[in-house]
Amino acid sequence: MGRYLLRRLAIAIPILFGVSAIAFFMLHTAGGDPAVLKLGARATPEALAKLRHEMGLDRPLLVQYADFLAGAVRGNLGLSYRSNTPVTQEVLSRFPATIELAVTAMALALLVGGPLGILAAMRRRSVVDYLSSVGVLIGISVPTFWLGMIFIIVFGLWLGWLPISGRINPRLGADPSTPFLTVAAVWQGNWVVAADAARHLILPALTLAAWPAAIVARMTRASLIEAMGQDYIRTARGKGLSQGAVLMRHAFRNALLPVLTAIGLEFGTLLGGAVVTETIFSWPGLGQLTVAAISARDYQIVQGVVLLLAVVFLTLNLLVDLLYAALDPRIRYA
Amino acid sequence: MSAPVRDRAADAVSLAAPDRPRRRWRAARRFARDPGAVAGALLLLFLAMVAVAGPALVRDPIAQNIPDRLQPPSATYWFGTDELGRDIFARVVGGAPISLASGLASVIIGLALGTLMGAVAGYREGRLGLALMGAVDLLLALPAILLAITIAARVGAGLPAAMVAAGLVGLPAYARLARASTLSVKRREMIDAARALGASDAAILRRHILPNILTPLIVQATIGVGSAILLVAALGFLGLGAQPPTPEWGRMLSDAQRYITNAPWIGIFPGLAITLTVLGFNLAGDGLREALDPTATS
Repeated sequence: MGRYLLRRLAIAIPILFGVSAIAFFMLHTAGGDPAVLKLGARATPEALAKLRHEMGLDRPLLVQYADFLAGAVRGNLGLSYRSNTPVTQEVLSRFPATIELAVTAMALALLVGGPLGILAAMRRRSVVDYLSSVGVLIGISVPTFWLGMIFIIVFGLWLGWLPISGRINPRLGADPSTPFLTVAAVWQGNWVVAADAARHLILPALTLAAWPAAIVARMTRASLIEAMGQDYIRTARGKGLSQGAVLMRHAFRNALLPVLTAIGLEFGTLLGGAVVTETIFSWPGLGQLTVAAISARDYQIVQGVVLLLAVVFLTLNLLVDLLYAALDPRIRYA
Repeated sequence: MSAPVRDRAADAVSLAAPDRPRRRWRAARRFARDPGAVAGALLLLFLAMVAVAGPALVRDPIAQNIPDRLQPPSATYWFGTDELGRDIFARVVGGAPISLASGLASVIIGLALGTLMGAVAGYREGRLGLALMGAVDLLLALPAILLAITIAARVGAGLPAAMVAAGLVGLPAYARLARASTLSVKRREMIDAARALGASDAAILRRHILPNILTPLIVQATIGVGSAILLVAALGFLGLGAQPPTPEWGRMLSDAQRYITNAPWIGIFPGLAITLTVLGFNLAGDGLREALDPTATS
């Protein structure tokens, strides 16, 4: 296992270099002069040239990339063109809000998608199965940004049940940039803030959960049906085990691997999907930061977000692979 | 390659699949018996008709009529009007060819490049193959929307940028599928036969490997159109895709956000149009996959 882990890490490093190169060269050749962005369109050519020199933008692109890499390995991703604050600080301060949203959405997706997939597999070709298939198809066909708008119209505006933007009611005095606000408030015993933060979380999390819930339901159903057709299930039934015991003790454990892969991959997709969801619900996370940075052409920030999410994505894939070995004793690495 | 050699190699391919027409007929019958697949195909047929004939039958989708701004749905304006008094029904119909064409163009970009990379990587397994698949894996190291944002930022906001971005995001799926299928096809005797008859690598790839790996790629592409339409719309929504006043559905939803409290209809209909289109491609794609591979778990 140790050797396998080392091998996987050795593969991840060149991929990260590749991602950093893609992000750097694409964004630094995208047009839009950072010096103009800082000084404004009316700045004199001399002032612009001076600032470009100070920012190192007059050096060859390859030298700039080498400089960026040297800083990146020490955790320094440069300064934001817009706010002049360190990119690492700005990106990391927004990350917990995105993680809170993504983890809640994935939990909802598992709570809905898992049981739905199991039910559909147990009652194959029944009404439940057909209804679940329709639900899955709708889940993967609805655009996230439209679903979010519909939720806002129905639950926020018509019914008035839930708040439609932000992380917390500003009147409560809680800091909206607190990492994991809901959990932190529960931890501190501040139930008013916890309840309000949870209410703010529901609509964006539901919006973000629709796609992964559909994927989890589809994968669970397909894997369970395949597992139920295996010889060991016939043996389990033959020795008189109940349907529930056969399902949970034998079929489900074996069906879990592909579902786990889907969950790992979908969590990465979920972090990406948060870009759109956060925009709709004014959720102060990485997505909102990215969209604002793009419209301001602050590509230092976009680059920082791309790198951070690539690291998270690769780590998740590695974790899923390692979990394989833990769940399936037949798999032996190294 | 000389003509006789080409003909003999083609014979080798046809000998390898003597019952291909019968298999296709069976697949067509299975597709026709699947209610979901038929519903998807009909939905796509309807959307294609709207895209082709619709724009000529409705009002000008970019004509402004300020006195009639923010009108709710009525007999005059079936889907209501937007903040500039434009007819939303006309804009939804006018957006159909844009969204369908952008989804199809994205898939063609991803399919063509991905198939080429995957087929070459599978055919030449050495360093070239490793380098090609390494490049493909790089594209997989990022969530799709973030990769699309980076590409669209580089190309410059606009519909072509969104199409290229959505195409490149879909590329890895086609490349991996093409590589896996090529690895299996290239070990068949017909490839040895073609090589023995003097066929070049390019000719073998074009005439013998490509026709034999296309089926799974086409199934993947059908499902991929839905995802591409969603991605192009998402980029439009984020302001990186189609620019005003183009009646692109994602862009319309982005503009609708500001009027969500007093004119929700501005956003409801374009979103419904995206959902139905993507649903059509997903239903038809699933049906096609099951018709061509009935052993797949459904």
